[in-house]
Amino acid sequence: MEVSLIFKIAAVGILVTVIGQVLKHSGREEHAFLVSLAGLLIVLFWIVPYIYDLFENIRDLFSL
Amino acid sequence: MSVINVAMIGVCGVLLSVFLKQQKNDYALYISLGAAVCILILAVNRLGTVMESIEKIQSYIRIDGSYVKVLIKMIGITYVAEFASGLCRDAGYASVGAQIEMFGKFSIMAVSMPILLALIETIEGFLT
Repeated sequence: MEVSLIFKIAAVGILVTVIGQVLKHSGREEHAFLVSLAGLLIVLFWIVPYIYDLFENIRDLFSL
Repeated sequence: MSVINVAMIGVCGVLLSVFLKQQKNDYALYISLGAAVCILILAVNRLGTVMESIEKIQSYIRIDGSYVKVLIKMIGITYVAEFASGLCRDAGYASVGAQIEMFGKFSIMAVSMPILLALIETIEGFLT
């Protein structure tokens, strides 16, 4: 599962960049910003559970 | 999950983030964060087996449990502090990373104080 996380983030990044460029050239600046914000939220939704599990494991393992 | 997988994850993450760095450098940071988290998860799993063997060894040799526990806690603190400060430095905010490292050092000192006191008490016991 881990490797596909990286590729998914890269895919979202590329998509957001392309859509942002298209929107920017067609004159809709604020839509481009909203698209990049949506991309950011999607990526965060994917990464945050992983980070939470990671820190839970570390907490249990090292009894911090 | 051998070292080959970990190396592959690292290299793929770095290549993708370099590719994305020109247009949108924040996604390059997310990819490096994702790669770092994945590798750290694998490392923690691998470290779990080491911890079990340490407990087994501890049951054979009569060591006071608190000393080994402090040692393991120190390893954990340095691990997390290094992870966080490295990421902050990657993002270009070296000052935040330095603060996290300083906190890690101070918390290690705080954790190791009881052992120092125990040592000094034993020495004092010899002298008086």
